[in-house]
Amino acid sequence: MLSFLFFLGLLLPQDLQALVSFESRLTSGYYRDSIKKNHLTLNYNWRFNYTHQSGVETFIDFGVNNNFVQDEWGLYPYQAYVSIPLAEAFEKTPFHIPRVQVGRQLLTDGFEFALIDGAVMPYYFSPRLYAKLFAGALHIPEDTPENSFNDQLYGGSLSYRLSGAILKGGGIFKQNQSAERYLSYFTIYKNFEALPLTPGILIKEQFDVKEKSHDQSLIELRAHLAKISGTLFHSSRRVDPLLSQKKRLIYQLFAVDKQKSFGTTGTWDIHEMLQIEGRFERVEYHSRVRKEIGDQGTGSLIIGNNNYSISPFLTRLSSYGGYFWDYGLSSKIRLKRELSLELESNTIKYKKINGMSGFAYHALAGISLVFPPNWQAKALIELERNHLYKLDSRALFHVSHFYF
Amino acid sequence: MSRIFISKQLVLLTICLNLFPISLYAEKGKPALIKELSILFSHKKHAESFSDMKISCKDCHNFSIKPSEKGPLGELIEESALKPARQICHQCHQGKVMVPTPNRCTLCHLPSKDLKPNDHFISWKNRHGQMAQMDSDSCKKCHSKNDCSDCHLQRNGHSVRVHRGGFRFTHSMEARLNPNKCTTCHQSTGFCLDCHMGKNR
Repeated sequence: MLSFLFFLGLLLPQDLQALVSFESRLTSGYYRDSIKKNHLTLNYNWRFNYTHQSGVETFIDFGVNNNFVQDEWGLYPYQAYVSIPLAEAFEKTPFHIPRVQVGRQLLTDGFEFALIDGAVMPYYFSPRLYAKLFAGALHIPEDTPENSFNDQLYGGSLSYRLSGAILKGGGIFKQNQSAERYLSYFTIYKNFEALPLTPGILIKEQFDVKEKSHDQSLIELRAHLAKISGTLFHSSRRVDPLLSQKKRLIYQLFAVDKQKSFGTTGTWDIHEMLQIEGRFERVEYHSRVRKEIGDQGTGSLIIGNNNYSISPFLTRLSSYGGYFWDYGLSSKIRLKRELSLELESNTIKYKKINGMSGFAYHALAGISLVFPPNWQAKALIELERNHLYKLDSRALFHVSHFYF
Repeated sequence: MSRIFISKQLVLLTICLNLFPISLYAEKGKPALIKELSILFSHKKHAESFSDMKISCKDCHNFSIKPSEKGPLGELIEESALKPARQICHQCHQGKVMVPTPNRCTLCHLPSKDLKPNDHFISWKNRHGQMAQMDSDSCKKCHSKNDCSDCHLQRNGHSVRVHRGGFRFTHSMEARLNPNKCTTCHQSTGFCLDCHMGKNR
């Protein structure tokens, strides 16, 4: 079946060119687990796009794999939808097409980021004023079919752009078999280009209308001074309490209430070929036992130009689960258009809540090849050394075919 | 062990950069092209697509410029006057035609800083979601639908783009720092249990 799909593109008639495009990606690897059992892993992904002369577009994205994490075969129809244009896009923003999309698709709106089975309708009344309506059921790729349509959501938003600002407001109705929620949210985004330090602000708040309570929030302040940019942020987030226990499990293992975090990020573009980045975040929430506080700080350099990049980094993370220092670098060297080298290595010094401590080493190296006009290949060797393996090696191969 | 890798990388990098000089088709401050424009754009390859989409010669080329001296022996119009504006490619490639490369810009341009908008340099991995939730269609100016899927949907254990190497040893500490982050992608209990109940090693 895999071979059939992989070569399907080669068999398609040439007169479909341009209106049909697709990408086939086959990834395989060999690895040996900690009890010396051998695994040959396989991942196949196929993305298909067909645009009819009328503008109607069909998009399919699905995968087949025996992913070594799950260690089982699975067929994953990630996305499959038809997009029907309702009007022409505006000349300056050809990507803003008023349309209705029906099928399985990603939804991003308000605080939502979800894969849904349903319909989404973005409509642009003018380059400044646009609306989005959506209705569907949440889908999780690993979920069993009987759980489909358990978690439903319906909503809409209205956005207005004015002098560099975006004002957005919306509402969402969510329901499952036993409960329902009514949420409303607003977003204010504005850049003050004329002011010193060219500050910017993003405020996003969501309220539970039925409970008359505050649900989630995100505030971000940005400023720029010459080639230095920085942000301050604060957020109060949580997993939707309407989701089934199974879907909330990971969050509920640790937190019983909202997770609050605040922090700062900074970027200094020192030179065309040198950039420094830093980020610090402090997170607080209540576990079943007490208030938990953790923090994470990362600093990195980005050195390079179009042909090579080297990024050394240092991260320190501390939580009630322990702490670790992670340092290393990643780099990519483009020898010519058809040939690149990829190198990555890091060392982790850790101490965990269960008493484990030590070092873990990881390295990945390989080459990436392009065979114009349609093929791309990558071969990588991954090495690990840690408390499970004295030295573990893994070989990975990626082959991609593009048709457009 | 890590120190050995770092030093090897640096030595290799130095050798490579000296051995393989690379020519670019770039103007300062503008995204460099992977090849010369005359090689990148083939009339022959595009003709069929243009015919399908009812795009005529006049949609790209301006034939309204007339020579100052008329007649068969009059002055010729400079070829450059007939060339379409550079932005003309974007009218299709950033609009209606979806090309499934990881990033549509890299179909013709080298991946570089010049391609990125300024806000992409400020902790973008952590901040891009907020912008997508505000206006996801704006991402389509450069990105295809595949770009979200690569990190957020793909169940490909071979991909190392999402988590850094050694994540297996640090995820318990990261999950206790920021549990909300895990649930962005992992909402299935089976995902944890496969390893923690001993099914996989």
